[in-house]
Amino acid sequence: MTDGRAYAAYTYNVERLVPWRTLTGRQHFYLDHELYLAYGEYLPTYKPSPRPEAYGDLRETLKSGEAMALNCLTPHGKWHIHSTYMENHRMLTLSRGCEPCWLSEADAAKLGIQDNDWVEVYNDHGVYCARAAVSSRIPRGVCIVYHVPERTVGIPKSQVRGNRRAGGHNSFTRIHLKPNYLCGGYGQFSYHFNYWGPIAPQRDTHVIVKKMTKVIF
Amino acid sequence: MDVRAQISMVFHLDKCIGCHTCSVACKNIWTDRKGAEYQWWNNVETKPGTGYPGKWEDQEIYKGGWEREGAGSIQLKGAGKAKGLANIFHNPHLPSVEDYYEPFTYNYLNLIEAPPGDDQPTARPVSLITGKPIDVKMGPNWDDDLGGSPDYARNDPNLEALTPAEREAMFQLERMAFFYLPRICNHCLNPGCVASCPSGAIYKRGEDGIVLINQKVCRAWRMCVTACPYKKSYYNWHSGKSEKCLLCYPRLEAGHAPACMHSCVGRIRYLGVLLYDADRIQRAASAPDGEITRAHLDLILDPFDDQVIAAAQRNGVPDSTLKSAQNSPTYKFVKQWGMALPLHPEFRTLPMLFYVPPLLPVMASVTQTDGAQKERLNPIAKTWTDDWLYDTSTEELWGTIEQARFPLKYLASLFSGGDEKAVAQPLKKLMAVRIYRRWKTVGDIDESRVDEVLKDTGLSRDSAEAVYYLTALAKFQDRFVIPPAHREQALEMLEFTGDTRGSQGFGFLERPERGA
Amino acid sequence: MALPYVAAILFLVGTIQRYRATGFKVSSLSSQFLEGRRLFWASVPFHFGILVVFAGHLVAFLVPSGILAWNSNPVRLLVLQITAWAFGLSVLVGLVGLLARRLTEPRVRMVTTPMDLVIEILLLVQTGLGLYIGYAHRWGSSWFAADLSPYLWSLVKLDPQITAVSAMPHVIQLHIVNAFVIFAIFPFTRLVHILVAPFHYLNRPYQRVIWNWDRAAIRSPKTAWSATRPRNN
Ligand code: SF4
Ligand code: SF4
Repeated sequence: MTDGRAYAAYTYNVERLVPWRTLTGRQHFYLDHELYLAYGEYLPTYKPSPRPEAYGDLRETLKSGEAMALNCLTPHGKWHIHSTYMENHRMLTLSRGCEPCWLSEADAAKLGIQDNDWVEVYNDHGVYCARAAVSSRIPRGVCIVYHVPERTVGIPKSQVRGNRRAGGHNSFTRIHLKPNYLCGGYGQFSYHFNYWGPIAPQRDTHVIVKKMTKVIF
Repeated sequence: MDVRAQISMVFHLDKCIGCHTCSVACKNIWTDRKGAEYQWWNNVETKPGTGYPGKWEDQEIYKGGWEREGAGSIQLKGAGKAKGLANIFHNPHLPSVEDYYEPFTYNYLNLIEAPPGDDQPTARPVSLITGKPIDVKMGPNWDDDLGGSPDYARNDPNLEALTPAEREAMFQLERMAFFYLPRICNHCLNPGCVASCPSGAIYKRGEDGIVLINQKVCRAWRMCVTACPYKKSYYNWHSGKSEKCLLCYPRLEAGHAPACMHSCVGRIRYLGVLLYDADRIQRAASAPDGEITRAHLDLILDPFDDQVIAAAQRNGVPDSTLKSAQNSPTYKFVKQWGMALPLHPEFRTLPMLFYVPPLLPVMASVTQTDGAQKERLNPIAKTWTDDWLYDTSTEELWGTIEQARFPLKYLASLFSGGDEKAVAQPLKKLMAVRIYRRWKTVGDIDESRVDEVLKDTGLSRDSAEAVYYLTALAKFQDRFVIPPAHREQALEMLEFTGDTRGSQGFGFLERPERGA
Repeated sequence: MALPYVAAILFLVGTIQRYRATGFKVSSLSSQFLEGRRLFWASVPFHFGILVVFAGHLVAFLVPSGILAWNSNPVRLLVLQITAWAFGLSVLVGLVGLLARRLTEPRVRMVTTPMDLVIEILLLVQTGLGLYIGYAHRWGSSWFAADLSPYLWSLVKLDPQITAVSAMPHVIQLHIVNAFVIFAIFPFTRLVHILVAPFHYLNRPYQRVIWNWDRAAIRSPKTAWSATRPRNN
């Protein structure tokens, strides 16, 4: 905060007319790289995500019986910055004592899950244990686990994994590499750690949510 | 005319982002103590929701506030002289710890001290009262962001004003909306807490209207907890005293804004002096149901009026306070622009914290369809077995207030005791300012239309500009106009300095621990 | 027998000292917030019972002749005895409830001090003895007024006449001794809340406004620095 003014991104580019670090020096919404054109990714438009089967996140898990697959998203949380502050007592008090798994009212009813029940969120890759937060703000078919929950604070062991400690949100997500991440050396499409590289799509995965059979810490 | 000054607050709900920074700031300063862990003098609720303590607005349960009797006199609903003394051995309307939540921490030490094993240890939640492991079932904002909506949001007492269909529509995903409602003690003009205290420990400060509990005089009768309809007086189970928000008066006296306001990320909070006529308090508090908000706002006097100034001076209101009253942002929002309303005026405590009601997204409309639209969708589209259509095409840039996602009835139940016209007024003004600014910055709106909406809502271009400034650009000194406490006399405000001559420090020297 | 005097002195000095030194704690630490329902079934019978029983003892002490006159009619005597005994029973029920709650509610245990238990047990013993006496040694209201009241008055007159007491059965003697013990430790227990019972609430206006400044003086340069004592704290 300088002079009563809070920090904001890109003020240099806007106010002092410093060119953006792109090929043209301007902001790009249209990406004219061949690979982007080829994959129809040149404009930020809505594309439905593939059906769960195409992801293959549930091949083994589904074999074991009847269950309902949900599309699981792991956006940034309200009570922490990535993993920082998550295990802080104040923040945990304000966030139900853990980072819950948000479910829609309809799905929760179908799965026999009530608000605040312990649930396990799992797929072929891993498992995460949390409490359920049943809410009308979640669309049907979707569940949300905010970024980087802390698995060693107040979380019971996983029963679907034989009474073992479960992981965080990274345990059931994986990186889906899109071909257009492979292009590089073209203006702003150059690898830079945490800026340009395989990112967001691993946040979109498919899981099974099940009520925990036994609560063992 | 008995003119007095009150430090009052305005919260601009459109700007609240629900970050709870205010709650944490308050907690860190005031209630990070044994017995007070569960107290959140500042808390932020999600509406619709049941809040903290659960369903506090339902006075059938908690019996807070005043009720008007036939002849126009008012009585405390669950306390008072007769009821209070009759129930002194056991107060049937006292919320218990379950109504708030059992405060908890974690056995963090276990992470370090657990014996070696083949798995990672975990820090189990333990009660901050008994120290034993507990199952966390409730928290100070359990229904945050509509969490647990089947149990909480759908049981919001304010939904009673709505028909079942309207209620259901509020929980349809496409129509769903919520807003945050930060709450602190309202430092009421007709406080239930003061009136109910058998020991006379609670008082309102004449100079600035802050309502305080004298900890030495409080004798743990707990009637204030019942009588405050906002549940903003809390019982400390460890010290055996009730405690409440003190509007950070030690900060105010030093010229600082209260911690919750200072730290507010959304800059939704304004603080300033209002002058009011104390002679008419009782009449306003006992006004008939529909008239109470008007009677309340009528108590607030014009700080530029010569007569008011003269009366204030006769009454010992310092000139510096009068000057603050003239610059007060709360006077602008509450009286000059008429954009802020008290929360639940029907509780009749005449709260001095006002809210600018939220102008929620009003663009889209939702209609039920026969499912034919779905046929026309791209075959790869994901669809739900749903026949609601979300329509964003509207003739108006922002839609109209009647189309708001929150039915006006709901907002009216919160801010005007059910009077829809009264809440529509500030919303229309918010909309008018937006239209005016759109015309000014983007220019795709007709000038004649701008003038028309401004005229309709009683604003001028200047006042619209002023509203815009105070909403969007206001600096610290604009948002918090704190009357000087006259630091040179501040010590006397607390204690006569002669009392402590020759000793060290001031005030409360005994540790609040119980031996017997 | 110096016990009554020791008790009286402890009571007086202790109370004054407690109020002066630890005035903050002159109250009964309420635990209703932590547990409310069981408290209702214990606190209410206890308090109403003890109010009546204590008042009965007080009246018999202050106006023994009145009691004796009332008791001259056997029906009225019976009514008085039964009423007193019933309220005594209510005290017992309440006390047992209070003690049980204190010991079994984990949250209430957290706010329990040793003194709370001591006084509750003493009161329980006292109530038990009282009820037994009321049952085994009939017409207590009469013999209290006739025999014990003069003894208590003799204590007040600093000329103790213990003959009446030493002739009494042991249970009654125990009841009396225990009463003095309770008086003696009164200032060190939660019982002090009796002394701050809020009767003044009845005749004060509902709202209270306190001015820290002398409003008229503050605007006048002549008096701004006078030692006007603020009225709070
Ligand atoms: S909000 Fe409650 S605690 Fe605050 S002044 Fe009003 S009645 Fe008292
Ligand atoms: S700090 Fe401000 S914006 Fe954040 S929750 Fe509190 S009132 Fe709202």
